[in-house]
Amino acid sequence: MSKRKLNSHIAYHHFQRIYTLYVGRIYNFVLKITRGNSYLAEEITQMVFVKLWERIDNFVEETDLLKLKSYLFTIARNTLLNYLKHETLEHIYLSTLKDTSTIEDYSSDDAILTSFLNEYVQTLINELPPMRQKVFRLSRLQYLTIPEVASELGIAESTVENHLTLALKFMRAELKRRYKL
Amino acid sequence: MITKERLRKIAEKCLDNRADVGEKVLLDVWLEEDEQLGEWLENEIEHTPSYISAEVNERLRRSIFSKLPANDPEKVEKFNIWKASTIVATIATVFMAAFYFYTPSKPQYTLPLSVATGCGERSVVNLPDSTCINLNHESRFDYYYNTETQERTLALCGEATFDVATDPEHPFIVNCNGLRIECRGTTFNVNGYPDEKTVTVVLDEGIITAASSRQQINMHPGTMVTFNTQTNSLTTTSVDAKEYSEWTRGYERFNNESLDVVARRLSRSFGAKIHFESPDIAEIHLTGTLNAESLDEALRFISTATGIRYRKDAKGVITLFN
Repeated sequence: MSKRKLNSHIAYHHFQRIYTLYVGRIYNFVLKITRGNSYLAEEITQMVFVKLWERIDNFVEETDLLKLKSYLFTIARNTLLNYLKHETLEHIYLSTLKDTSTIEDYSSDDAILTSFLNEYVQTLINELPPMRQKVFRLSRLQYLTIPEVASELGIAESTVENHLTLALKFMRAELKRRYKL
Repeated sequence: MITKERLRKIAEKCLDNRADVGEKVLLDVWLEEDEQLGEWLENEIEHTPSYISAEVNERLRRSIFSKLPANDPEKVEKFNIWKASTIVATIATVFMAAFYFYTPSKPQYTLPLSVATGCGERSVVNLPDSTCINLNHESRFDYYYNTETQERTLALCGEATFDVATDPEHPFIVNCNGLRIECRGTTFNVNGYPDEKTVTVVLDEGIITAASSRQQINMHPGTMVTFNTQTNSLTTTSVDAKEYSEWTRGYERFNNESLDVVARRLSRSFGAKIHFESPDIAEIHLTGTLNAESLDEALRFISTATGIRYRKDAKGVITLFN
């Protein structure tokens, strides 16, 4: 067996193991956060594994199984946030944020911070390259879904996803500098 | 430093659609990038039960793998190995599922009811919901009833006629070689042997939906849907539905069928091997109803209709020749 073939065989093997272990978990997790929408559960599960397969060529070493697994979680997280934002946020809110105990009262600080923050974010949006800016505005300010943004601008869904990821990366870096996020 | 308390407030505003743009971006950054949140989410998924029904498992597998090969031939190659091994995985899942059925904590699933026929054998089965199934030669079905959702699911390999008990609330689903048929009370015939390239569904009464991974067709009485298992495409033709269930009364009906298909059907009825001396014989088409007691009788009819001759060797293997 040639080196290349052997490698793709290993990658395929990794994929198979990850698939068997997680296909049910991902499906049931989406089912849970969508309160039993089996159609969405199937769609999202499908998307996650098809995306994982598209990158399988990066996981050709014996030792890559764990890397592939953590990559699966990254894809799952992004897919959930891109396609089921509201449901995912609701789930996160109900299970980890809701019961956060309040030690200090931040309310007055919050109000000041929010007005500065808004202005600052607006300037950050204006700094984005033109297409990225359009994608970002349509997605985050006009609440269009990814397929809607893609057809509005006549670009591929994966391009939209890329623009959003890069826009947020940029903002995170800037916000981190300023607010130590 | 952003606190959980502040995130909670922003999340509440976002869920109510009251958040400002700055807050939304802050929350998005946290949602997409925060490492702790990532770990938490990972943990949530890890602790989600992995059990899915055999039917969902099969559907997911099919829909995912039909999308995998892309344009890369090496990937296609991998895809094929993978396909073969998932059959094993599917069988394993069925066993695992059976294991689940035994555990008292999962009472909502029942053991599958399985019936199989050999060559020359036919079987009439009445299911507990009073659905009646006629099973043709060399066929098998596994029937699952989910007592919680009351969904009735059947996996078919071979040919069968269904007279499904009406239940408008709960569908009856037949899966056959990648084709999914959904109905709520009808009579129809499904023919899908693993050695044929197509699955055909003929609807006699009522309304059913036939769906492949690519397409979906709502069928009306007197139509036939042909599913090509290689291309996953569906085509509709008008037919006399009664002809397709004539086998349940002991007749063999051939509608412009090639001798190739006819020979395979005769093998299933009489358990004989049938060969062609030259491949062009296999392409001869035949229409008619056959009511034969023995293989010899059947071959005599075919010989009269087509002008093809036949001989039988010492082991009982039949050869058709010009």
